[in-house]
Amino acid sequence: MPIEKMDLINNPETAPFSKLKYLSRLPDEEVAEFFNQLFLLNVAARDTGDWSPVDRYLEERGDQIAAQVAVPMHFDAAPWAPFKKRLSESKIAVMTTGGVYVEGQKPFETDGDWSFREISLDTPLDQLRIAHTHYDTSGVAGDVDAVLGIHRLLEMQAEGMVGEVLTPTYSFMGYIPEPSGLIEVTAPEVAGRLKDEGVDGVIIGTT
Amino acid sequence: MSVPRSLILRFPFGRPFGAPGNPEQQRVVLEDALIMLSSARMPGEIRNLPYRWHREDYGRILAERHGGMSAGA
Repeated sequence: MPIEKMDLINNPETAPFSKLKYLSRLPDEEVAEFFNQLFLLNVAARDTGDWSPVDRYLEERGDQIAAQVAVPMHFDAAPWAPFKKRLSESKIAVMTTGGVYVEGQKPFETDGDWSFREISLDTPLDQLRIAHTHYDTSGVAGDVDAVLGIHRLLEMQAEGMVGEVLTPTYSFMGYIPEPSGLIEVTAPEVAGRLKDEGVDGVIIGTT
Repeated sequence: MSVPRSLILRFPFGRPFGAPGNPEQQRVVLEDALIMLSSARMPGEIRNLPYRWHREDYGRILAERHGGMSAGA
């Protein structure tokens, strides 16, 4: 597929050959090999006037490189931790991917953001904000329990149905086109914090 | 990607617990999520909840569960 200049300008992430950006994650010798081969094809194309082998090489190598560095998005088995305690004796957290943050915190970057925000459960309602452009957020900042049921959970704790409630809890913004930072950094960090806090179960409101 | 336990709701996208301003609906869903947490036995189990967005009397559902105990704001 030939490179369309306007595609590259308007939409660099999805333009042909954009996968070549993943070259930066390969070992030096593989990057060197890529450029060696490209140089040789380039020399041959100048000689023959046929540039299609260069085109094809870039496209095929782009696919190979992307497959090589891709994070697996399918797992054979679900991770499993049996829940053995009574709810009334358990520490429970609610979390969300709905882009909830607190006034004064840095808003999520709505074009892709794998960071998280701490949400204290006693945050006044008028200080809660939403930064997310991939679902209908109307009304949600005024009643975050639509995506993050913190007040419903506090009610259940007050009524004795749940033992303890985690605060602060954690909020993500679920539009993450490049999830490696989430998988490698922030998800393990939050999981570690939940474990350290002795949380027995987590309910995640996904958006 | 598989998660340990999933609840599926036929709610509008981006309203996992229910509508803003409907604490009874949100409470019903949160209770169901916690029930699933404590009762699921199979990794990757998925349950469908039957609720019809606004065409349910969530206050009645809670009253039946808790013998008239009020819930929500």
